[in-house]
Amino acid sequence: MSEKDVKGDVNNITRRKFFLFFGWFGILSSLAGSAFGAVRFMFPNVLYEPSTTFKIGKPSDYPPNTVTFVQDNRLFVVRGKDGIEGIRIISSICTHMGCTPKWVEAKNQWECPCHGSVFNIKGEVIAGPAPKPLPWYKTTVAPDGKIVVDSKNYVKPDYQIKV
Amino acid sequence: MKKKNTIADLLFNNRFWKSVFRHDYPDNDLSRSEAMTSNLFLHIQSVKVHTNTIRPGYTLGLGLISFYLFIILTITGVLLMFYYIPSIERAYNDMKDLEFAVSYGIILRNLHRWGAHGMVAFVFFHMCRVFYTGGYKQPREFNWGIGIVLLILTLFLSLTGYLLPWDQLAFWAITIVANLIGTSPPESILGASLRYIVVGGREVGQNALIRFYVMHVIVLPLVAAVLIGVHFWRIRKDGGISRPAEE
Ligand code: HEM
Ligand code: FES
Repeated sequence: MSEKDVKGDVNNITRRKFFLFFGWFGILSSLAGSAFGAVRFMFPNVLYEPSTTFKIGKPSDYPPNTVTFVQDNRLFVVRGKDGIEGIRIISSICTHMGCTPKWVEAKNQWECPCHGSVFNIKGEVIAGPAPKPLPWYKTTVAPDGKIVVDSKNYVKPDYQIKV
Repeated sequence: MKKKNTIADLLFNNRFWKSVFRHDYPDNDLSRSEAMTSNLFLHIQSVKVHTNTIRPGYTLGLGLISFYLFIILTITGVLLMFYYIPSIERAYNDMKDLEFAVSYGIILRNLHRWGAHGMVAFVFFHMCRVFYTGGYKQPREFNWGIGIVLLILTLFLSLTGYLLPWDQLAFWAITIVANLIGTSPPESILGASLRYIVVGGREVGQNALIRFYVMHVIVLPLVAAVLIGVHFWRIRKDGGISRPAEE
C-alpha cells in the first residue's frame, strides 16, 4: 500500500472497500429487519379475551353482610362489611403472583393458598409476600339494574354503590 | 476376499451389505477403526480413547444418561403428539384419554413425565460430576458454557411441558411464572412486554397454550439437539474427557 493509504484520506476508499461496505450493510440490515419483524410478530395486536368491563348480576343477588366469590370474573362482591353498607367489588387476584386468595369469614380476612399472603377487609396486606393491596374496582349500576364492574379502574376502599 | 461358506460370509460379504458398510468385517484393528470413522453415528466417538472415558467410576455415565433421557423424551413425545391437541377445550381431556382410553397411552405419558423429571435431575448431576472432576477447566471452558445453555434449555423444556396438561397444577404454575416474568425490571417496560409476549396476551389462555406448545415440541428440542451435537463434538476437540495430567 502507498503513503496515501492513511485514515481520513478520501482516496483511501477503494472500489473493493466500497462494495464490501455495502455488501455487509445489505446483509446486516436485512437480518436486523427480519429480526425486528419476527419479534414484533410475537406481540398480538388483537386479543380475544373477555372484556374488562362486565356485568355481575343484580345487587339483590348479594345478601347484606357477606363476601361472595365470583369465579368467572375473579373478584369478590363485598356487601355491608367494615362498617360500609353498600356493595363494593374487590379483586381476587393476589398481587403477589396471581393466585386466588380465599375469604376466611371467621378471621375477617383473605388468605392466599400459594405463598401465604393475608389481606384484611380493607384489602391491605397484613402478612406474606404480596407487595400491594388488593385493588377495589370501580362499580356502577346499569339501567337494567345490574352491577357493572370496570376492572381497569381502581377506586378507594370506601367507594360503594348504595343499595 | 476369498469366498468362504460361513454364515458371516453370506451376511456380510455381498454387494448390498458392502454398499452400506464400506469396511471389511471388523475382525482386525484397521477395519474396527473404519467401523467407527465411516459411520455418522459412531464417528462422534474417537477410535482410541483414554481409559478415563470408559471408566464408569469417572463420568458415572451421567452425561450419557442425560442424552438417553433426551432420546426417550423425543420418541415418547412424538408419539404423544398423535393424540394431544393444544386447545384449551381439548388438552385436559386428551390427557385423560391418553391415560384411560388409548392403548399403552398411560405408559407413554408416564415415560415422558418421569423422563422429564429425570432429565432435569441427571443434567444437574452431570454438571456436579464435571465440577467435582474439574472437567470445566481449560481447555474445556467453552463446553462448560454450552452445558449451561443445555441446562437452561432442559429447564425451559420442563416448564413449557408442565402447562400442556391444562390442569389446575399447570394453570396456576404458569400464572405464577408469567407474573414472575412480569416483574423483570424495569417492570413497566421490560417486564410488561416479556409477560405479554410469553402469554400471548394478558391472560393465561389459548394463546399461552399454543405458544408453550410450539416452544415445547419444536423450538427448544431443536436448539437442544443442535447444542448437544456441538457439546459432543467439543469433547473430542478438547482432547476427550478430562483426566489427571500425565506423569
Ligand atoms: C442436555 C444436557 C447434557 C447432555 C446430554 C450432556 C452430555 C454429555 C456427555 C455424554 C458427556 C461425556 C462425559 C459424560 O458422560 O459425563 C459430557 C461431558 C461434558 N459436559 Fe455435558 N451434557 C449436558 C449438560 C451439561 C451441563 C449442564 C454442563 C455444565 C454446565 C455440561 C458440561 C460438560 C463438560 C465440561 C464436559 C466435559 C467433561 C470432561 O471432560 O470431564 N454438560 N456431556
Ligand atoms: S400468589 Fe398469593 S401469596 Fe403468592
